[in-house]
Amino acid sequence: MKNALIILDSKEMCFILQKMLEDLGFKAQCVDSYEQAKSLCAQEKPLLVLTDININGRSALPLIQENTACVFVCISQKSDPQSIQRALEAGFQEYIMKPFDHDILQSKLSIAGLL
Amino acid sequence: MTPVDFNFIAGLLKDQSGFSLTPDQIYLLESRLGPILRQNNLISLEDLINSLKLGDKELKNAVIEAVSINNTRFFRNKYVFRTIEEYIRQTIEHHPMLQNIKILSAGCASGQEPVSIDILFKEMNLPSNIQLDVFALDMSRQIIARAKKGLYTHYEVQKGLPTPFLLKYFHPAEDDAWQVKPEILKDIHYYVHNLMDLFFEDGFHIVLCRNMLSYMTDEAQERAIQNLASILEPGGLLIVGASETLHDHKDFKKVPDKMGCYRYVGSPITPVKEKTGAWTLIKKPLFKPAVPGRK
Repeated sequence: MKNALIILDSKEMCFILQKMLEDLGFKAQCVDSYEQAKSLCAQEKPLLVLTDININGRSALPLIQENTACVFVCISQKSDPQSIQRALEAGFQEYIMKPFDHDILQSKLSIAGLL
Repeated sequence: MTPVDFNFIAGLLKDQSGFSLTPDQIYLLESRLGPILRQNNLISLEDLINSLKLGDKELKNAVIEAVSINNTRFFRNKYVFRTIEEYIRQTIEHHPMLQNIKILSAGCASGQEPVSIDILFKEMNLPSNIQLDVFALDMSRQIIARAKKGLYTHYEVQKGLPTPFLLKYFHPAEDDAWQVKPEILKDIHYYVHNLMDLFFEDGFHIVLCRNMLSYMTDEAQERAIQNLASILEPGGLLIVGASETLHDHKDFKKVPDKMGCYRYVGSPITPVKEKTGAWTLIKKPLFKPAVPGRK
């Protein structure tokens, strides 16, 4: 199975995503802080990282820059073109607007070349 | 739904559109007919069938439209878009004077396929003198009216469409929807059309008719294929669904290693309008060059 890391502060959302990713052949771990995410990225070198553009008020940008081998996909409530553009410029390969479903996740991971 | 009711609706669909329903699709009929009952203040399916038997034409069209709507998504099956790109590049290389590429999307539903084709074309960065015309057909008036608006829900734009294309070719609209920009919509010509009838425009380099033939009876398939053949340029491509086949149709040759992709090798024929107003097929002159700008 491929490794994935989910960085979200909602436990419920993490659980749902974990199940969806499992169906798509990923083993996903959930964390809710920048520090945990940084340390897990260094140890596990996940293929995929799902996170919002900000993690507890901190930009995900340094994390993306430190882990160039990972594919970062943004999951966000924001759906305005400026926010999406900012995320792509920060290095996210794809952007998922909430709410989303299994089909959307699958489509985005396929576009990102992970399926 | 009783078998008699099912057979009546299935028969209506077969006569009008060539689509065949199998008894295991009863669930599909029930789920699609529910909204029609409500919209027309009909109490039961029996009520609906009685109205259809009395010849309610509007209701008949509504039933056919509701049952034949297919799901679609942007850039469905990436290999198809790679094939289209390759074919356009080859055609331009072989016809240096060509200025107009014509592609038909038959059974376009809410328009994701023609929009994807136009985005693909724009991303190919071809010389600016080469234009694309996409004709898009569906037998549902309702779905064509929707496609013409170019409005897609938050869910629809996230299925198959890479985010950079969303930003480049769509703008946000009301209610979390996104609208295709006019630069894309202007290239797409939508028509309500039944594939059992001849289409008035010809000279297409590529015709896509995906996941339609497998729902048709053998006779309807043959008729639809002949109608599509009549509007293809000699050597043009007909692309059907990956699980569909033209069997050993004499006018088409399977393109090796390309799923669902066939080259038209039959006699050049074209639809012509007779004085009576009816359309008929005539043979085109042989060696007709695939020339530009012909409409």
